Amino acid sequence: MSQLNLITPDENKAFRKNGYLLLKSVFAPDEVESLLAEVHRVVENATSVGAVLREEAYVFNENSFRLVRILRMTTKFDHLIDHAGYFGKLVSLIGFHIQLMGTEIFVRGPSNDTIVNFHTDLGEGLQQILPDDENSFLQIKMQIFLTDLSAPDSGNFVLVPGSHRIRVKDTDEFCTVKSINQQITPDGRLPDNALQVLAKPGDVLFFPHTLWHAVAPNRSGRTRYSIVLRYGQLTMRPYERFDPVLTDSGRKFTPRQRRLLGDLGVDSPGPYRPSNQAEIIYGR
Amino acid sequence: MNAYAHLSTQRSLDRPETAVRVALSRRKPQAECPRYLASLKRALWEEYPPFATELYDEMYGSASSSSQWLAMSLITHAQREGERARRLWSMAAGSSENPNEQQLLKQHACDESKHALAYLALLDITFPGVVDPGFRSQLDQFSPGFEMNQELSLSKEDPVQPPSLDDYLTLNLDELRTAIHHVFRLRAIPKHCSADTLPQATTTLEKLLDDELNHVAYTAQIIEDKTKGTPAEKIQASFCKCVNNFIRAKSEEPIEFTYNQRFGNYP
Repeated sequence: MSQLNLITPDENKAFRKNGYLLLKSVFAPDEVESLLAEVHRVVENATSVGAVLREEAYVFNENSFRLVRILRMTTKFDHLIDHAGYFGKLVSLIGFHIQLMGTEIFVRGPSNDTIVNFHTDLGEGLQQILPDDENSFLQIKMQIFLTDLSAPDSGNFVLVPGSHRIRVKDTDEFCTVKSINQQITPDGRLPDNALQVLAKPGDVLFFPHTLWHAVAPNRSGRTRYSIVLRYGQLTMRPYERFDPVLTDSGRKFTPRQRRLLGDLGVDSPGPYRPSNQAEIIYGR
Repeated sequence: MNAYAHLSTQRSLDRPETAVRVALSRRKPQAECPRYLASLKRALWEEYPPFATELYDEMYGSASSSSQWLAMSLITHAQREGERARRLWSMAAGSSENPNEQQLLKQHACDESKHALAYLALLDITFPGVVDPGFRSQLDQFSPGFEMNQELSLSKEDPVQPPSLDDYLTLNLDELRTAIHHVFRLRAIPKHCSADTLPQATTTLEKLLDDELNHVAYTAQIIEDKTKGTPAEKIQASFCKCVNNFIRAKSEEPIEFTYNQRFGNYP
């Protein structure tokens, strides 16, 4: 028997149909407070040494940026790697050959315009590989919201329900979806079929790589902070190397966390046939 | 405290930076190289070379407990030092516009030429009679036998261009990695030497380590000079690119390969 809290049939059906799943109150208020305090500390440190990614090509706001490789900056996010509140559901959708592929903090500051336009993830090649009713997912991003997004135009995550199964025909190297981006008005009004996700601190969102997603204007006067961990198939190239954290002798990871970070052990013939994968991931 | 004693007590992650600081402190006059040090420190964090990890240290210890592995490693490094000596000789020959750099590179080539023989001497000391005498005498040919009184000459294959900043950065990293490998070797060799031969083996390795640290220091000083007036971000980008390329170039070396395979790192 799996020790994981797997996805329910209704959640599975909704995720495959709509391309997103919002899990409410995964983190209690005190957990959110502690995560947000650490995010502030890490962001302040990174900003002071200029170690932030501004990505001006597609992030249209000087108050917005992201931090990558965040596990290297603190140990206080280690428990997020396989948090019981969502990890089992990710395993249900990706399968047990799952790995962590990247870690980020997103900072979305005040902006009257959309902060990021609609795009998909993982590059143009995989943009053409669409999910269906049965296949395992190639990648799912898991986003933990740490600030209040219960009203629209607060820098909310925006998505087009069902778009993950629509083939994009007009794109570019950033995987933008030109047909829908052209519908965004100069004053930042989004197309009618776009949905601003209304989330509270501690809520968690899943979405697959082909979902058309964007970031709404942020007229709330507050900065939005969120943590993103992206998970995917073990045989795919991760976005970052995790050996710096795996070889950090000051950290204590469980066998499952180590495997998710890419430690294949000394007896695995490679990422295609990792030893004891099911036992390690399911915790049997 | 000698360099080995100093470096062997360091955390693996701190060892590269400590090695550089020890190397610079030995220059006369003592060198500081703040631009070089700051950029190296950041690049090592960004790019994270496996040889600076505790696990690599352990893996080297485990591999080198095998006599066969260590003997083969000494032969391989004798060959590498010989190749490096030839490459440095060419670089020196191409550096005629800067006599100071030329002399330093020439001295370095002579050192590496001697190191090829030093590795083979270590083989003889540690594993006497392990190699067939006929084959052993052929191994001496790894060393090109360069001496400072020899004249530098450019062959057809030699670069006409003087060494670039990237060339010096790569050289510096290679020396740094080699110096750290000597720390591992100094730890490994007592497991294989008799009580009689251990002092000689240790002295040989400590001399090699001292030489490598000297090479780290002089290349660091050249890098410091060559980056004078260059914006910090540009220097940083060069360092990161070079460390990244260096890690890739070494990704199939025995310990690196096992390390990368374990963590699924794509070279």
